[in-house]
Amino acid sequence: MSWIRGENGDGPDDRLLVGNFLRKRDEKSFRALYRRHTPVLYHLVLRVLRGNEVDADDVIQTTWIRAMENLGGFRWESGLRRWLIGIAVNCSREIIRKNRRCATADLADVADLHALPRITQSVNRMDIENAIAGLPDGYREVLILHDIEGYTHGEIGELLGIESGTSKSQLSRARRSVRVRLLETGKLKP
Amino acid sequence: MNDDLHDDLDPAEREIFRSLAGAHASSRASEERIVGELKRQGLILASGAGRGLRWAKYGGIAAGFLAAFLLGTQVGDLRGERSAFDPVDVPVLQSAPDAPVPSRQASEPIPAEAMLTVFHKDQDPPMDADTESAMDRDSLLGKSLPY
Repeated sequence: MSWIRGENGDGPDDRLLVGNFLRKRDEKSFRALYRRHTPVLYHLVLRVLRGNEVDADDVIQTTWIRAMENLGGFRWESGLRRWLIGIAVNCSREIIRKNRRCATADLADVADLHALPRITQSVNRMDIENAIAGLPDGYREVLILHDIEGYTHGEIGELLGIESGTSKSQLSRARRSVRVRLLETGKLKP
Repeated sequence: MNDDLHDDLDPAEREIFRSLAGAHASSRASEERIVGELKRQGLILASGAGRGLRWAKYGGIAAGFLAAFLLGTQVGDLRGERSAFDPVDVPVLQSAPDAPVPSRQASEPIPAEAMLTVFHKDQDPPMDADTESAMDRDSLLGKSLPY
């Protein structure tokens, strides 16, 4: 039995591991699932939570517990990883609502995206991470899921419980906001 | 995977964003904490517990049968009652004291005179004249009788 295959979370090994886990409730199957999916989940959650590691750890724990509680009802209509990401994003939103630390500034109408300078390689990774972390929650979630994790608007709509059109408009505003923030901090030249 | 028809991100920017995606290992402590919590909630069974449960299941079935047997026999005995496992008392069929005794045993041959009595013509139902005459005619012509 391969415990490593299925890197993208959609391979048959996930079904095998889940089947084993549901049958035996064993630690080995759980650890294999955990090690396969948690790095991606953790990184995504960390971004959504603006780098707060303590909250990210809590979200990951809650995500796995909820997932294991409901694993028997998972119908494989999507990959396991996508299902886990949906739980993780919802858990992150709960933490954000509880902490009330989110930025609420709406930068939607600052400027036309096409009129703004392009983000180039001269902007380093940390500058972009900081600009993303400063985005309002809705913008940040969509930008992370679409531009970084590669989900489609349809998938994001399912994950976040919004229309795909809403996801598109949120993304456009999120990108605009990132550029404006990079301009404001002098990381991006006009 | 990206379904944007009017994507306003140029390829270089898209590459920059995608480069942010990466698998960062979460801490080992987090894994242990979650495994511990799942065990505490009973969502993960402790090592060997699964096997133990299976043994308990099958052992339980066997124990159930054994207990039912013991309860069925010994408790019933203690209470002076017949248990469910005792054989059922089937009443033995016996002749009543005043029942008529058969005059002939089954193995005895039937007497010849009794056979003649059984097949005596006088005991047959009366035959109408037409049928009787037809039978006599057929007999004279060598035809087989209708029976």
